[in-house]
Amino acid sequence: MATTLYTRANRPKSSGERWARRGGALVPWLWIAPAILFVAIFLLYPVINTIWLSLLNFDSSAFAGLTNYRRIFTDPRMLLVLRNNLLWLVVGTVATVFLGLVIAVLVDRVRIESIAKSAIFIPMAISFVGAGVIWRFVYQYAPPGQAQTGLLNAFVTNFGVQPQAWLINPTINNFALITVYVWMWTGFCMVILSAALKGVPAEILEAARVDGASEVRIFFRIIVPMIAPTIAVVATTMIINLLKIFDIVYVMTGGNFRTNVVAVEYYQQQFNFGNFGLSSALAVLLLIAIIPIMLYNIRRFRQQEAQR
Amino acid sequence: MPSYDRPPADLDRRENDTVDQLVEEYTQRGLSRRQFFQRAFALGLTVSAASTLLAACGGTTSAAKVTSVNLLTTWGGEEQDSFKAVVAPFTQASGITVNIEATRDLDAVLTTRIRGNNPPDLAILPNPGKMQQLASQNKLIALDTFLDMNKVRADYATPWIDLGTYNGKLYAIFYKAANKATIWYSPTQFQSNGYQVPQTWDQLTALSDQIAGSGKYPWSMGVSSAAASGWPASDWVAQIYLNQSGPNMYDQWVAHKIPWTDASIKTAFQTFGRIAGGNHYINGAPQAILATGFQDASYPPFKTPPEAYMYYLGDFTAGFITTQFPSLQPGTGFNFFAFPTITPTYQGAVTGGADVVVAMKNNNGVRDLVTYLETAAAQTIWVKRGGFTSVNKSVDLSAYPNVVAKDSASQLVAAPIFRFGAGDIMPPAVQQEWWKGMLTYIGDQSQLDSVLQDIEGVAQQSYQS
Repeated sequence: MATTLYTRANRPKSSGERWARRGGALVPWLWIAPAILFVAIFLLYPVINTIWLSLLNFDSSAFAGLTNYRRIFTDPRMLLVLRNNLLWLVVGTVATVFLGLVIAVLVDRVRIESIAKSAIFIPMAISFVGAGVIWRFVYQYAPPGQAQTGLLNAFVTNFGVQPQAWLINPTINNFALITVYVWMWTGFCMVILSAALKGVPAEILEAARVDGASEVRIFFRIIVPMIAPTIAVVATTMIINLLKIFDIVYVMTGGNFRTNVVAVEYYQQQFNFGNFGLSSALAVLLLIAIIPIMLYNIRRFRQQEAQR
Repeated sequence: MPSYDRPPADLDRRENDTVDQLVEEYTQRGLSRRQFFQRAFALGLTVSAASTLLAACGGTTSAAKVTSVNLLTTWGGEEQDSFKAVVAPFTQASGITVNIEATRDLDAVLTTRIRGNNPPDLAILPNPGKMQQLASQNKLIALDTFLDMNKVRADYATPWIDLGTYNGKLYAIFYKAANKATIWYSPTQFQSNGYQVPQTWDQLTALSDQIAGSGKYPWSMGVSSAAASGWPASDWVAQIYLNQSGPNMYDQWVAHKIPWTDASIKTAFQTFGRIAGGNHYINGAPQAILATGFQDASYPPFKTPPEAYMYYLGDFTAGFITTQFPSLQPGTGFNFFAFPTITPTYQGAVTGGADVVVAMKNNNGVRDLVTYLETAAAQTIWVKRGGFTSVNKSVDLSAYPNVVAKDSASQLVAAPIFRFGAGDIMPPAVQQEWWKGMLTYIGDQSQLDSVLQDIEGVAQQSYQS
């Protein structure tokens, strides 16, 4: 019997391969079809529809071009909404990541670490709406001279300070709202960053100490650079969260008293004022703002995968 | 799944009249099902069309029978308790339970559910403006298809029926009316301090200055109300406008024949602003006004010692007061005086409000409940509990639990000039923007021009549609 030398080119085809050849490129599409269908129905179609609506007028009866977008960037009321969102974005991200990191480093050195971490993490378990209601009680305001039932005002009046309308006074109310978010999400940042901290090899830290580096120097020159990727992940998560912020503002001030943000304004334009054009434009704006951060996250993820 | 909610849409238009006649005979003269089908087939209907029609007009097909109905309302707390008491005998007699879903954000909830094709069976709308909007979008069931219109006409004065009518069809019955020309005070306190009940606006401000001058706060005010925050202040402005500029201007304002930037509207805002921003008028103003709920704000004049002396809000305020201070005697412990005269020609003008019952589905539960709610018997239950004014003529004035409620009801009925609360008959978007504008204005009165421009912007968009 003559031996046949099979090469890559002339080896006999398995039945599956034959089928695949006959089906051409169809088979992979078949496998991926359900996923594509889902994405198309629940993601692609709504996105395209929203973009289309944003180019129409308030009741989608006529083409309006970029009028809605122009309004967002010229109307003082919309500009205020954008300013507030920016304030949330900057203050909220910086505060949660910074506090999360500081607490993670500090609890790393105490014996009651798990208790301390649990206590700070617990607010995460509360819904945004629940947190909003709780903090509305904290911020409750009664005029001077009356019994202060709000925790914060009861506290500050002990020191002879006038009670403040925390949620109404436009100079402080945005910060009062951001505080609620920080209270909820610092725990999340802390847990992730704490895990990253544990991954910093003890030898490096020890070597630095032997070389005579101060703890502050170690923190900024060794720990922070080593956990930078984790900090970036946490920060982008916070940014995406904050861009979409809705519940706290809606529950606590309803967007009144100069505290409105894009998501609440979008909701009100859509459901209260029936302006589908403007509300869709706001939604598209949010989408556009979030895309670069998503891309950054995906690129970072790919880089990490490549390093493995 | 076939929909039993509406008569089949595929009936030929020219057959409509004969079909209508058939339906009428079936529902009113008790045509048997067999006769119904015979007649329906004679009209050329298919079996399925005929049975759908039969189901739609309350036939005995089991699929059409419901044992519970969903009802969406803004009533919570004490108001909801009273409504439950109204519904209880209905459930007992018919076996149909009424699931009450309450939200202060009724607009958003209803819009979402209607757009999602999942409307509640019934809704109690806090204003006829929304009812007109829904009726124009074909979202409501005409009530005159099953209500005995002769009885409705006997029970309600024509203006009320007209307000519930769109394009000649009755879509809403007026259930709970409110008299919004009432300023609440404690007669006991007024007497012991020697204050006179003011008849005119000048007397009102003079009295306010007098109380403020003695180091006390004449007014209590609170406009917080979750997503509807600001509405109590818009009631103030509407009542002031009617008393100041009269019913003709009021009608033009409501119909947006005059812009929001008109001097008459600005003046009404400023007149209100003199109370909200008056020197030593309100403790903690303006922040306390914005931070206080409209219900809590009704309490200070009746506390011991009183923290304020007057509070303006519709007659339903009596319900808040009696719940919070059960020992207060109506007429002496608490009472109201009519909104003072601003322009003498319009003396005694009253703005009011009303919650209207509308139906979004046509089934036996809905028909029975609406028929029941229309009756004087059903309304008397709440009248007796207090905080409820009925516009049903068959409700006996003696059913009102006390002199205050009776006075309020008769003020409403006898008012020489009556107009619906302005916001309630404007397009909902304008009303919402107005509420928000009131909050901005109370917080910073120098913003008045931009507030009015913002409302005008929304109005231009909303009225053109």
